[in-house]
Amino acid sequence: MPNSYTEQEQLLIVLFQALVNDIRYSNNFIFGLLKEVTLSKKVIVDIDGARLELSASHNDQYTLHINSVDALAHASFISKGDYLREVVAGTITLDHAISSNKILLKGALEDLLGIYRLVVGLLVEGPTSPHLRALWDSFDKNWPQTVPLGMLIDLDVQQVSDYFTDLDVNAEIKNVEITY
Amino acid sequence: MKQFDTILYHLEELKIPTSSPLSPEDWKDWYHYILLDPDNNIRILFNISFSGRPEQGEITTTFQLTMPSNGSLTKLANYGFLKVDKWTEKPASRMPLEFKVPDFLEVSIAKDHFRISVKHQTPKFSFELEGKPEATPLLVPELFPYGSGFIGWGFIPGVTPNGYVTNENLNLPITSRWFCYHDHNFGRFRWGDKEVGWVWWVVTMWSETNDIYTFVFHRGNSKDFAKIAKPFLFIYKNNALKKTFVGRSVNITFQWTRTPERIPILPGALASVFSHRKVLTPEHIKVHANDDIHSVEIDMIIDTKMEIVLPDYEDKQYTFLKELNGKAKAALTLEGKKNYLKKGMFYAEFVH
Repeated sequence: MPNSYTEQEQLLIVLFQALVNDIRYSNNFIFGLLKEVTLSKKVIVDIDGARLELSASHNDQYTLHINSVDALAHASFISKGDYLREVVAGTITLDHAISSNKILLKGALEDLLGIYRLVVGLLVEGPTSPHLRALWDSFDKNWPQTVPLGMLIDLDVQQVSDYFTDLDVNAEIKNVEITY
Repeated sequence: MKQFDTILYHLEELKIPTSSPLSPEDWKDWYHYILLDPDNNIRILFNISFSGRPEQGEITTTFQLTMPSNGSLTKLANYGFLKVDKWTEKPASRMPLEFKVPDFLEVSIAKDHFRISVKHQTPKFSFELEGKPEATPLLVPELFPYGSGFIGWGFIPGVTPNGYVTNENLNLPITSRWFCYHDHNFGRFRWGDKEVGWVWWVVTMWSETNDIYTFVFHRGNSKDFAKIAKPFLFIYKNNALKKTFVGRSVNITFQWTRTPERIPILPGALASVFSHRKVLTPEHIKVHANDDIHSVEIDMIIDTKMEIVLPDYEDKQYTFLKELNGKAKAALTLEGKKNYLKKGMFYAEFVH
């Protein structure tokens, strides 16, 4: 299997491992959550086309395995660096990013809820953890920006106005009656 | 005036002990500026907050801009950010206070002049502000217990401003026609402390005879409002302090939204975490003060709401600051004359 990672994939590998090592020694709660959500699971992430397969095992200690990905394999977490920047900066919420497909997730509901809890946990810890902030700064500085960032973003777009809005639902589907 | 010089010195000097490596981490010092443009209905909040101590602590910079959206007079848009940087350098002196965060922030604060320069990267924009204090400065060094520590503050509710906000789509000059309020707060307390909360607001009114009236209010409260302190209300006319109401002579009432709503949270990582919440927020603030000789009634109609979430670094607790602004009107009996003031703007902060 060829191991020719792109520069961005290499950066992600360093950051993922640094993230695990940081929370392993500094945050018992998030580390517990990480184990609960990821052990014996496998996921392919795709950020701006940088694709990696992540899996986790626990023999003597928790270990994150990172492998290269076959070109035809389907990713189950797809996003762009700029969208992640928007979520971390808080110009849009995580919920908004997911509901507008800025973060595309595929998986069993239980796994998706687990990942959601883990990400929210990291967002909560970030402001009070200099290590997590430094890690994010490293991503932010080194990851290419694809969207011009000159525009001031109106905070009205920060949130999803309502979940399950029926505006986009086809009228035929809306009128389906379900009887038991 | 010499006396004002002394007050301004103590009002503006940095209070955090900067030379002791053992200085407690719950020290806070923040410099807060409000700008209101009566001609174009624009409002700006800018705040620089030091916490902890040099080399160990943090500098948090907060900016909010509220302005008419795409030329509309009724729809307002909100922009802003909250940025946390490591406090790396010990300032050379407390007064004048000069410091910078490389590639982002430069600040110089002396007793008779200040200058702030911000270059924000994402989104890219610049904010420059300099100002000269004009109004009677007031220092309220409340060193009595507040939560686990103490808090003191001082304010100047009239500063001649000059500056701009620029972006590739925006060129906003800040001129001496704008109203500028400044305060400096300092003390030792934790954001997560149950006793820490307050209501503060500043209203400025432009009368038909070209007088400028300014009202500043402060009242402390515990987070759950079980304890509410007696309020202060200061009234200025053309930058001179004319009247102070304290305690029971001042009444403040809030009219709340009927149903909880989502309001924007100033960007910063916690915005993503908390903004799914629906909360009740004030829609209208009414204040009445009367001592049988002087009286004032102020009506503040809130048209813009935003929240700032601050974490407590030790206890994993949060403090929620509701930043509210809008239009105001007042009826005032002062110096034996009754005035109706119809053209006013305000900025309020509701902390719990």
